[in-house]
Formats: sequence, C-alpha cells, structure tokens
Amino acid sequence: MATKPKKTARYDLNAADRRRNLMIQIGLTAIVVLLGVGLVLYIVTSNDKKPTSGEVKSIRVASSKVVNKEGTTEPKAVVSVYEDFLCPHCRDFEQKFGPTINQLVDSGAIAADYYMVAILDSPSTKNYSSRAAGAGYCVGDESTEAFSRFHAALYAQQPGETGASFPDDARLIEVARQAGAGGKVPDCVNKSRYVPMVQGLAQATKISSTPTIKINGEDFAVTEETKPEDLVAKVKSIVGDVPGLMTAPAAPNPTPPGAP
Amino acid sequence: MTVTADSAAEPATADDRPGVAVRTASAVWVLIAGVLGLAAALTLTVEKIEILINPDYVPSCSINPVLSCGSVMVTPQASAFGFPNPIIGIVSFTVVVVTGVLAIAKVRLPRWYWSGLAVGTLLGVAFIHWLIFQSLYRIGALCPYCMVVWAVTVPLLVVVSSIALQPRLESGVARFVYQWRWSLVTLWFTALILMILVRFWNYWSTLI
Repeated sequence: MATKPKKTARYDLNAADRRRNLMIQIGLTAIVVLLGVGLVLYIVTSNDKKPTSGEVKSIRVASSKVVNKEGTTEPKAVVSVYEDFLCPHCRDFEQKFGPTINQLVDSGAIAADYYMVAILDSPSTKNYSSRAAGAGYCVGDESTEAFSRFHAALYAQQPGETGASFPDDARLIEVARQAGAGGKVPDCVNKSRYVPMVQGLAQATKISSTPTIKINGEDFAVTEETKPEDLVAKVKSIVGDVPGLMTAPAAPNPTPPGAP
Repeated sequence: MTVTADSAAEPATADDRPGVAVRTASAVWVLIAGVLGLAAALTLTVEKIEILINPDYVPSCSINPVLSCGSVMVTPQASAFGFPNPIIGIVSFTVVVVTGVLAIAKVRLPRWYWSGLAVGTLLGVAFIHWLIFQSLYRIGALCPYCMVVWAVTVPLLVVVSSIALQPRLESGVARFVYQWRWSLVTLWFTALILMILVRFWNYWSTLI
C-alpha cells in the first residue's frame, strides 16, 4: 500500500500511461468493429438472395392484353416450356413452334412461362447448358422483350452438343447486349447467379426430358407429327376465339427476329 | 459508452469501514441501467395487460413488420416460465434501482451482496441470450422494449461483476478480460447489430 506523497507522484505517471493505453484500446476496438461491419455488409450485399438449387422460377412472357381468368390477374392459359439451350430437340421445337408461341403471346391468348433447365452440363462444353440457362434468367430479370430476342438468338446460334467451341460468359453477355439487355446482366452472368438454381431445376420441376410443354400444368405431348395448329387448337379450346389469333400461323421463320 | 481502464472500486485507503466502496461512475451506471430496465419492463407489462383486455390492441412499439412487439408478446417464449417475462424484469430491475441509489449514497454494501447481484445479473444475461436467439431466429420479429432490456443488462453485468470481483482481478486472464471489458461489450453490441442486420436484410433492403 503506497503512502500518500508517493501515490500522488505515481498518479501523474500513470495518467499519461493510462491515456495512451486507452487510446490503443479505443483504436483497436474501432478497427475490429469497422472490419466486422465492413465484412458483413460486403457479404450481405454481394450474396444478396442468390437462388439455390431446388428453387423454381420461370420467366413469364405475356402481353398486356392477355386473357385472364375471370376476376383474377392469372392468365387463363399458361403454356410452360421446359428447355435446355443445348438440346437439339429444343432447337427443333423452337423452329417449329416458336413463332406460333410468340403469336399466341402477342394476341393475348396465352402467357408463356419459360423454365430453362440445365441437364446437358459437361466439362467439354464448359457447362454451357447451365451458363446459358442462367444467363437466360439474368436477361429475363432485366426485360422480357429482351429475353424473347435472347432466347431466339441462343437457339439460332446453338452450338452442337459435340461441337468444338462453346460461347463463354463474355459471349453470352454480348448476345444479351445485342438483344437489348444490359444493366445488371453482366454482373449476374459473371457471378453465376442462377447457375445453382438451373442445375437443380429439372429435378425441382420433375422434368425428365426436354423440351417438355405443359398447358396449365397438363402435359402437351410433342411428337414428330404434332403441328403448331394442334397447339393453337388446344389453346382455343381453353380461351375460345381471340382476336388476332389466326387458325393458320405464319410460316415458321428459321431466323427469328433479333438474331444477329 | 465510457471506456475506463482504471479500477471500478476506489482504493481502500484511510477508510476502514466494512463493505465495498463503489466509484460514483459505476454507481450511476447501475442506477441508469436499473431505471431503463424497469421502465421497459413496466411498459411491456402494461402493454401485455392491454392486449389481454382487447386482443385487437396495437402496442405502441409495433412500428413495422420487423419492429413489432405485438407479435413477440403473444408467443410462448414471452412467457418462458408460465407468466409474462417482464414481471421478472419488474422485480429484478427494482433491486438494481435500489442498489444504484444505495451506491450513489455511498452506502457500503458487503461484498457478498454484490456477488449475489452479479450472479443474478449473469442469470439475466443467459436468459437474454436465449430470448435474443428466439426473437431473431424463431419468432422473426424484434420488440423495441425488449431490446432496451438486452442493451442495459450486458453492461450492467460488466459493472456489477467488476465491483464484486475487484480483489480477484489482479492477475492473468481475469486482468486481461477486465482491462478489455468495454471493448468486449462494444464487440458484443456490434455482433448483435450485425446479426439483426443480416437476419432482416430482406426487409431493411426494401427501406434503402
């Protein structure tokens, strides 16, 4: 126990010491706090709600005059299309039915839901299947009009399943740009935002082959003999006659509008 | 927040009276924590009674979907021991207020009294961490008055246990923890705020 005079002398020494210690303590604490806050904010803002495998999402293409169920905002006829951008049958389907679906959408008879699944991933294509499907969702988030053009463009320039070169992400971003989708698309594609989701999408939607077409949830079988007229007839049986919906659709156009 | 690296108790100099001498700053802290906690517990109890009288009553602290004590107060977790939690708060924070007043009045309470208060506060802190977990991850809403209690109880534990453990804080790990106690409290608050931020980010991001 110190005596009184000694204690006063030591008090002054300690005061300077203590002030310095206090500064070090405040400084270190502030650094740790700022680092923690910065790190968490960075993770939160960059990982913002990345859809995971198992989630189901579609890109809905519909005209503003689409025929709704009475008293609701739900379209009377929803045509769901499950496709893989790398599957040759999907390209055939798009060539044969694409213009008809577009026409049905434009007339307001249907809403088209596109589910872009990735079932043909392989290292030799650098997983083109899931990258293209993921990019499709990125473009669809930005604008459905750009999506229609992007979708058509990817099928028009589809690489063969055994081809030698497959579009990389930069090329996908460029195709999206030409289709009219900029904005967040490059970031979304580069971060593979939808890739985990599209890889699990076939399983999540219980799709065993592509293309699979469903009308209001019911399978619409597409075989060699199925004609676009059959699809129109099926839609007509649900929504009735819609102005602008011709019985005979325009001849399929091998180069969809907007394809470079 | 005040950061003090020096001792919480005044050096036992010429004064030979029995009991623990408490620095004025610590005494004021205890009183403030007691008053805030008591006010929050009383408000919660009154709001609880209002809800019981009128189930459609909207409590004053239901501000938005996240900050909503109405949805928290009706959960089973809000009556963890079979009766509403704020009743525990009314009893305990009253003791804290009285202790704070006595400490400010320089009444020297025996060390065992402070130790008892520290143990009680420690139990309170444990309970509060359970409530924080339930509120964030099970109920999914925050109740502002409850958060006042969270916020005062942790610093209260630090102050009270510093007073109670004063003679044992001279060496080793205890001394280190004691010296850095306010930094640790700051980190605790930072972690809690970040957890709230992350947990309800979907809601906060719509406000930006």
